[in-house]
Amino acid sequence: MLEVRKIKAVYSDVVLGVSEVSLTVPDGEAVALLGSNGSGKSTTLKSISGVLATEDGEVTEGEVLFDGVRIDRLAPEETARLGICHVLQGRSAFTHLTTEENLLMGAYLRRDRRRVAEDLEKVYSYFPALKARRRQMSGYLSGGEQQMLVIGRAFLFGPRLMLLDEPSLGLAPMIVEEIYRILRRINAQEETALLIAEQNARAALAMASRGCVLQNGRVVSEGPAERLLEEAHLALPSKVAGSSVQSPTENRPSSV
Amino acid sequence: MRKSRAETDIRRHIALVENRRQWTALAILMALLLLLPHLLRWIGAGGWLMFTNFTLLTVVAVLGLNVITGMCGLISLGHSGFIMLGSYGVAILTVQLGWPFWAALAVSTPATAAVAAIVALPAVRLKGFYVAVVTLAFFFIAQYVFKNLPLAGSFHGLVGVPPPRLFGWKVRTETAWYYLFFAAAVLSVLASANIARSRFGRAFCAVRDNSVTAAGLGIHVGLAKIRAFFLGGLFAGLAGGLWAAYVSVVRLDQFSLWDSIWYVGMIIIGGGGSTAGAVAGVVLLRLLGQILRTATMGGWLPLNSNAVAALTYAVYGLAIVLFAMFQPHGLMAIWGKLRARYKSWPFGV
Amino acid sequence: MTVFLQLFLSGLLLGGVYGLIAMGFVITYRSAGVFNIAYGQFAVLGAFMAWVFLGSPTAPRMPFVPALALTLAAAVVFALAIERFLFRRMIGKPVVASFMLTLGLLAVLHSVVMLVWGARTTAIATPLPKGPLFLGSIVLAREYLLASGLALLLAAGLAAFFRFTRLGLAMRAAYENQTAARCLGVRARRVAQIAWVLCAVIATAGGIIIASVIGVSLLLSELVMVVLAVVLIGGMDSLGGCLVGGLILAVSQQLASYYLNPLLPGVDGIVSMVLIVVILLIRPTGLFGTRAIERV
Repeated sequence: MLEVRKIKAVYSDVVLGVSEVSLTVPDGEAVALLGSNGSGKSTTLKSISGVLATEDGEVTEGEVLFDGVRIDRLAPEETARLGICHVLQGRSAFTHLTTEENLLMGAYLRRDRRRVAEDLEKVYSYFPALKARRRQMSGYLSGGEQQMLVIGRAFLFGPRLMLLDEPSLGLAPMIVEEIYRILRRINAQEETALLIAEQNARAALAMASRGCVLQNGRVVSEGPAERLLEEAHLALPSKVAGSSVQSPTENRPSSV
Repeated sequence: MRKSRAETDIRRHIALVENRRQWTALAILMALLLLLPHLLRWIGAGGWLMFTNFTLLTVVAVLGLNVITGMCGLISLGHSGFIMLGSYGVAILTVQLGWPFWAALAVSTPATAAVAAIVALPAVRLKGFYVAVVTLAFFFIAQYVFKNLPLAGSFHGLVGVPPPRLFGWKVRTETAWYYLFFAAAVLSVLASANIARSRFGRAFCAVRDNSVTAAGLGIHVGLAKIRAFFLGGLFAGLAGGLWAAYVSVVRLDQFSLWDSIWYVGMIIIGGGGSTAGAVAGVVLLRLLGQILRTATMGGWLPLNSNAVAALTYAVYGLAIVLFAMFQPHGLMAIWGKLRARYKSWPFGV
Repeated sequence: MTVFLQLFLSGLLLGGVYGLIAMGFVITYRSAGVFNIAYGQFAVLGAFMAWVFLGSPTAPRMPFVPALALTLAAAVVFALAIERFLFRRMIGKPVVASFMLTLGLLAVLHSVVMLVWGARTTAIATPLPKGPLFLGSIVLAREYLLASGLALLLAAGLAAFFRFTRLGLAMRAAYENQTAARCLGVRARRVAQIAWVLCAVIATAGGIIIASVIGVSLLLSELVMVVLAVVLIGGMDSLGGCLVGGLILAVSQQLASYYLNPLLPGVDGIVSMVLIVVILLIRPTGLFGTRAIERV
């Protein structure tokens, strides 16, 4: 479904983001994209969704193919219309919109009203905390609740491929578990493919089928998830990027 | 501070003139400028001397705006108002109270700066457009005050500001004015360059670029803003006072909001923050205006005076639009890119 | 007492018009993030275009409805052109650069009007009910009555648009986080186009209304100072705030003009400026604004 072929992404003509990065996400599978701060995970996701261009970036080499069609020059609105939903890093909720309005924005492109209403109820069943706060301004939700909101919004989008940028960032372990439980459900029931960029390698590899590790903008390791998990246990912490063998609570936010 | 080699001595790093080559270039430039009136007359363009004098005064004024807007990042649309204060200050003191010119200038200039500092007070807590709006409001309020102040002569303004005396002579000829204004401009350029490389200047840039971080570094953001406005007001007051003596009549309709906008445009076009950029912006826009005027009045494009004014606005506005869209960092950025390309040729940037 | 009531009601009506005009400014600020200081020129341009089609009362040209339609069409074309050729490039650039652009645009538009129509003042032929309306001993301007009604209707319509329609929700979301909205399929260009079209249409409508009272001239561009005062008082991103701000400004102007003018002649002209300074000192976000200043 998604094929990233040896892309080189550059910011402002002079800052190298990633170089010779290749990965694939087969239909309906979950792939983990791992690496520490600054390793190029976000850049890779942005190159796929088109957000890169909004930050004065460009894919100067290689290509990104979705169902065989080149998408690396498309704007985010256009990749969205192809079924790719990019969940940005940090809580990207629309702060002055209510919880429900946020979720409905997920369904912006959808025409099937009844299904949307059903899916909305499904989201509320996944995240009861959101239902309790459905008419509150989302800016007042806690960090964990906002992340749930953002994922619920992506679910309502009904994507074929969901790109998630560090969904566990700065969240308590219990919430991280809950979020990954829901992601697993979305992946299984809706057959939505997932590409999850994470520093928390253990959580991501636990649900992914494959993984790809970045360091300094290059791929240093990839393969089935089980193998990567083994490598992580055998190798020293510094080898498999970042905090993969530390507990999630020691993740530090990568941006102010 | 645009060195290409790493310097280990801070004094050499921020030196205004870097090496012998630059000293010679500077000496030649100064010699040319000092001889300018005679050169102009020699090629029969003596009429351009008046234009040069106005441009020099604009340079002084806009260098002040450069401190406020270019260095400190506070958009000021009221700069014309500060100049107006300087002019009226000198005019009131000389015409109404009979003071000699230099004394009037010595009082009016810091007074203008003080008012500018007061205008900065609301801006202390604000950012961006809000500051611009405050300065706009100041301009209109100042205009209202002077319109209704009998001391300021209301509509008719004040007539008869005396020319300054230098070593016993009255400054009367264009050439004499030129040397006076040239001295003022040189002083202003030096002052501006020194502000830029001083503690204050660095604080201004910090406030402009990221005031939260600046505060975290111990820079008192509010005080820096007030200081920036004070300094800007000094330049403007000086320019205004000199101008009052030059034209000897000070009237309300000589100061308009449009002038404030052109000054900001000069800063944008020249390149915000640098002394050279401000001067470049002033010279470019003034030259454009003058060329337009001589072309239209001189018969190439027959237009009446209203149309000339309109065309000037259009040209200035277009220049601002183009730079805002394509090169918001101005001529200095273009120059910098050219230099970088020259230095790294044939490898490219 | 009746004097006060007279002043208050006149201010009320005028305030409605001010509020209406200010909404155009707020929309571009909210949706395109642009502080459009050239807004006054939009109004002048719109009024002159209307005059071209409508003519003056002594020399009318076209009937009102087709003339208005043509004027609004021209406004739409103008807005789309501005969005396409000027502001589309500025997406993602710092807000200050857009502000500089509007400064330059201010000068260019002003000069265009000066070159095409000169510094004239001319009356415009509109079928707006003119003349005074007498309520007992209170005199009100009929033109402003209609305009205020329009303003309220427009405010309600816009509020409904933003709150209840999909597109309105998308525009609000785009203002909060443009990138996230785009990732959900919201077209940044479409949002910008709609914002500019609304801005130009409202500016034109406001320009025509004010021109029907004071005539079409370059002086209309002074409206931008009124608009600035209104949006600062009401809050830069609040449509309802525009009405409240307009009210406060207009009533203050009326009161100042009656009570203070004898002492300080002409002070009602700078009431807007004084209010700006006051509101920026005590409550910079305005009465209904929701953004923290740091966002700017």
